[in-house]
Amino acid sequence: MRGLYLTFALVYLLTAFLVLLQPWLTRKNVLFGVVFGSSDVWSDKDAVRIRRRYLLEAGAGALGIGIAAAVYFLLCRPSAGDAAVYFTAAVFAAIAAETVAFVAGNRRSKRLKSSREKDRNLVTDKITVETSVSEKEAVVSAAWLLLLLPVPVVTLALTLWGYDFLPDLLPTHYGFSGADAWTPKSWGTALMPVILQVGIGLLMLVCAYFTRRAPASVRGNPEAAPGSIRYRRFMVLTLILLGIVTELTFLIVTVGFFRSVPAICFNLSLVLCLALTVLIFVFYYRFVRVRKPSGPIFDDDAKWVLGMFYFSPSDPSLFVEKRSGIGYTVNFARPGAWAIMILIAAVVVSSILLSKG
Amino acid sequence: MLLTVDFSSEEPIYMQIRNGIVAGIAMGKLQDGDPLPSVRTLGGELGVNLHTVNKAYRLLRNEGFIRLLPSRGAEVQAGEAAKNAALFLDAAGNSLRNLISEAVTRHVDRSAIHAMIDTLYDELEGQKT
Repeated sequence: MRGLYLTFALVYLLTAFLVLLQPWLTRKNVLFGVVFGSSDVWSDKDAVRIRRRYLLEAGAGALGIGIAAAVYFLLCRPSAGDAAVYFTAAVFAAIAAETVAFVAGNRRSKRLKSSREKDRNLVTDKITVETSVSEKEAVVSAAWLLLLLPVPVVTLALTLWGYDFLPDLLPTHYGFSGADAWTPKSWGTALMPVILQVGIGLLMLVCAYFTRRAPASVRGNPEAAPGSIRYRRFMVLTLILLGIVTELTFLIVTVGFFRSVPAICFNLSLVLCLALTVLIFVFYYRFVRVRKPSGPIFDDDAKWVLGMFYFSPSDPSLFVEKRSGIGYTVNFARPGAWAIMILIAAVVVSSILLSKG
Repeated sequence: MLLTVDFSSEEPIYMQIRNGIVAGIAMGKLQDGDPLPSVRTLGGELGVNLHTVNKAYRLLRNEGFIRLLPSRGAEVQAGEAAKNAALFLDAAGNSLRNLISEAVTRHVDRSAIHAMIDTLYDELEGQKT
């Protein structure tokens, strides 16, 4: 139980911290999803005050919920099943509290913007693009997506070929010290890793496919979002790599059906995923965060509802770079984007349910 | 080459895209074989409907300024005649603007000008054959 609580605490702190960080993971001319003409606004006195107030509000919210959850867990000691539910609820509550604080920050930033003299760099009616960037430079080839195929195929072949040789009990859950739960042999159990691989692989494939063309979160001219093409290429390839690592983890589960595998294999993939996450942060800082925008900047705050949700019916893009935070979000004005959101929710929910079952 | 689209202009966006590229060819900023973004990429960058970009690209292709490459975007492919046409269109833009602005100040309806142009085209092309 202590190990479980420790995992909960770590995941809670990490999630709350990453969400809390959102307003800092932007280009320097963006405050809570509100775009300004120059990155000087970042060090503006009022902007600093808005960020500090957000940090206080969001931090207090997340901390309060975390402490309440910890007290409840320690006093009432719920069963492992109930604990998972309450833990998930606490994480969502923390995200909600931080989001409310972000929305308040967005409102204050808008007020700050309208109280200022109109920035000459901000334009509302013009966008300039560079036409000489070839499709090959700008968009990662779809052929890279094929890399997601081999691991599920190998896992499926291994399962079909080896089913008769499998023992009567299959290890289906691993803790820090090795396998800690077994399920009677059946085709359903044996094929579960493949099913999860296909679900997650498909999700990564769809996301990577559309991220390939996702435009920058700040537009206006090619220098409005310097480094965005390189960052996008990097993110697409990282997404594919992350997909392959996840698929490999499930291949190890299948191998574990035949012979015992040391728990370190799973820890290794976890470490690899964490390393990739760190790499994403470093890359973001190096190629996006420190680059200064210049030239005319397109003022499209109206398309960023609450500074978070992109809604632009005229824009054909399904995915766009996030205005605040690392990664990409969908264009909510496109029905295809809703379909992808439903797919993501379906894969996440069914993998939780399946891994529980 | 930098291509600018002005959303507040009365000129339709597809015409702005087309004119921008024609001007680029005329000024020598775009050479034969220079790549152009695909319809999807350009639509995404500008945040405009794909039909709009498609319309501009089809127009440019039909006029002999670009070649469409399946799944790789497009490239500038203007022969001598097309280059001359580009130069002409770019240069004629100003004199046409003067002519139309005079027509506007004299309250001449646009359909009258359209009809005049059609008649002239019919006459001159008729003479050619």
